[in-house]
Amino acid sequence: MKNVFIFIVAFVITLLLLEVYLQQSEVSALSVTKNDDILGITLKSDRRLIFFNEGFYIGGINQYGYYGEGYPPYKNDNTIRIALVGDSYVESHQLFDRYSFRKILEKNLQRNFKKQKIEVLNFGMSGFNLNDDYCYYVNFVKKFNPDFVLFFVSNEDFDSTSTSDRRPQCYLNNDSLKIDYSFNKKRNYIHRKKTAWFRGKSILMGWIYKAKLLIKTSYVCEIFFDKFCSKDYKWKQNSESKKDVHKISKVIKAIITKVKKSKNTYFVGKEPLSIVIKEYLQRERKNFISLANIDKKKYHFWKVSGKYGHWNFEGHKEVGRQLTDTLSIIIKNYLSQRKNIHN
Amino acid sequence: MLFNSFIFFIFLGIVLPLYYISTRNVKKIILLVASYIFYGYWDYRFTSLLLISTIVDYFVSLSLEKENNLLKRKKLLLISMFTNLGILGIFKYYDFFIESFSSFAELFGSNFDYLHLNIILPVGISFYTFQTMSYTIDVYRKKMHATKSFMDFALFVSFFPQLVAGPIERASNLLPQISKLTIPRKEQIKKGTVLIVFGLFKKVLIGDTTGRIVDHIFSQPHLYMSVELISALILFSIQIYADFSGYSSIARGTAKLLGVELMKNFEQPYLSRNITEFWRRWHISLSSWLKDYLYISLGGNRKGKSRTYVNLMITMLLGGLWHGASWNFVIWGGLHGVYLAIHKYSLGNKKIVKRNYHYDNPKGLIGFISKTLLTFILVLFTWLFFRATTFTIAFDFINRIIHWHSSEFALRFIKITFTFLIMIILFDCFEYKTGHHTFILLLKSKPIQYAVIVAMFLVTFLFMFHTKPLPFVYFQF
Repeated sequence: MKNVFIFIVAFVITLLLLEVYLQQSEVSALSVTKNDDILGITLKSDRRLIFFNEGFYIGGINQYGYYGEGYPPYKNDNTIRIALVGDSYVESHQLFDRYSFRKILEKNLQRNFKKQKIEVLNFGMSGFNLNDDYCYYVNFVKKFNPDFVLFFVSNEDFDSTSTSDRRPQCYLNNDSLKIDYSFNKKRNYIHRKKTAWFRGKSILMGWIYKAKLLIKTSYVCEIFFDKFCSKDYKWKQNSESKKDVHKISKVIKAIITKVKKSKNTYFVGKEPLSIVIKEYLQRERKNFISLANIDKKKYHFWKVSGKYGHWNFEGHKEVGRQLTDTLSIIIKNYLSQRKNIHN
Repeated sequence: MLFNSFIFFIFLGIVLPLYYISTRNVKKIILLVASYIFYGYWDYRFTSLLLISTIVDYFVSLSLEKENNLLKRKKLLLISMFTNLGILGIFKYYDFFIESFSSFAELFGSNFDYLHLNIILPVGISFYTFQTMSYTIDVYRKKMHATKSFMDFALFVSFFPQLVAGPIERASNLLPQISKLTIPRKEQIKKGTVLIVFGLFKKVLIGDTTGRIVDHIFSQPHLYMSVELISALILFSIQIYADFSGYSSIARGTAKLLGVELMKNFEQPYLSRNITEFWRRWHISLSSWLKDYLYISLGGNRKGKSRTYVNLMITMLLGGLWHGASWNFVIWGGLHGVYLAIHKYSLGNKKIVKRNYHYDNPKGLIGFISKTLLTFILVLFTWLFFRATTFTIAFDFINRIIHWHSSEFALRFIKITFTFLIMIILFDCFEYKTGHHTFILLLKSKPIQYAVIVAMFLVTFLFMFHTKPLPFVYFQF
């Protein structure tokens, strides 16, 4: 019994010391998400993050609960604030924030508009679709009083009928757009909420949780049996794989209609959008910004990891440049309209 | 297959029980088959090179054993050297020399790019060719008798724990053990297990994790700031040490589980007080190979002072080239050669104190720390050329450090680097003080021993479970 007790104590102490090592060396990051009964899975404030996938990201979540530099909800009249809403492409966890299109856009616009303060806020969330984007915009992004909102979309967003049981979801109730918050009563969400404290305090607990998730997927075979199970990763031109999107779901149409009523909201195509979608947006007179040639392989290849994936350094530069050109005109018109109104 | 992959442990889980229950001869067959499966897992075609090297050196050494005529003995030795160095030369250095020659020829308007063959480098080729050559040279020098057993010799060449990244074993150590294979003693199993756990921890949770940062920064140094670059360089020095010494520990541990003792390849090299001591503690199997079969063959220090320095430089330049077919490795070797020559010159007739340092007073400790720190900085500078794949990258690095660029992540990078440094220094300090790589077994309390080992294994296992294993840095050599 004495030996068992000594073993347990020594085991726990060793684990605690290793936990300190893992946290200080940032081998992995503590969980950066929390469970909000309105927002669903959202970001914790003041959290550090280190991330390796195609690229290498080091940064964190600011005190206001979004990525990058922290600008408070309140802004003064001389500030032009642009909110970027979207998925992992907006999140930009493949490179340091200093090279992200968010920062490039902010710097370039500041150079073009010296009399105003330009703030570009990153509300990107990995895995979000347009449904998630809208709910996030209504419940969180709006609080920061953005002058312009850019929703980054892909073809998939428009005919997507997939829903999440961890976030609020839009639905139609007699042609009226509503948000369903029943996710916070679902088993998955409740379970996550119960385990959140451990995952937020311990990297090891986070790893155990991830391991449990992986065991449920087919990746276990690849982990244990290596090349006998591994899948080949091939580059797929986004537009090639999704060019056949012919319909837009009713919920998405309702979201677009609702968003249309807010001034200065734009949809930015992360990839070439299908003709059906483009025509629909034009018919609805929805502000749309197309990013030319951004689906090219050269903007998606990551030398170090040898993978294709999100926009690389050149991709971010190109997106930053194109958005600067477009938004400079938009902001110029906006400022002159504002001036006319004041006069 | 990688030591830090689950498939390796599944493989070991099959080989070990079969090995334990078999008779001696069957043990050899099992190990030989397992070794070829292990090597063929990367690419089955390259097992043919392993076989060619084995067959040639087996028959050459048998002939050397019988032959007394000096000229004929030299010819036989040349056959072995020609075969092994020929295989190495073609698969490792052919494209490098064509590229270098082509670059030179372009100055005169010619182009030889069409001669490029884009040959795939077989894993571990530098290690096993050196290992077989050492055997043949020892037989030639009559330091040992040639083995008559082809099975024993084939197993000596292909022994899977050390096949692909060393230690480069001497036949005088490994062959007798192979000829008398037995099941391991209880002590060997304990030490073997600890070495595997420690090695995996070092490789996975220090080597791989530092490597992730290093790879990104070294690939595009112009995108990073000065503190980030310095951190990357220090992290690389940690990565290569943790990675390689971790691998060597796993190799030794696995061999112990088979009842075989392999040589130690590292003895806390970053605690060296001077560069000569560094080379007695770093990659010991290679440095001793270079000393015994290259430096001494060139004449060593027996042909006057100037010739000694020339021999030293040649050895270190070729030692650099052994690491990779690239001029930056030659520069790395050359820098070490210069350091060693300067240190040798400064010593005059004094000898180096070889063993562990014992300090009696604070002044002694300060002296020890300052000497190890200086040696570390000198070695750190050479790692820049070792890791940078081109001169442009190396000079970009230096340029961005000299022309200081501040970073918003400076404190964070310093903290990360410091944490990794402390972890690797802890391992080294315990080994240094105790003289044992399995220092945990010196604790009197067995429950504490088991608790630490189990905890370290569990954490390493969890990390391995959700990250893709990175290959060993030295696999590329």
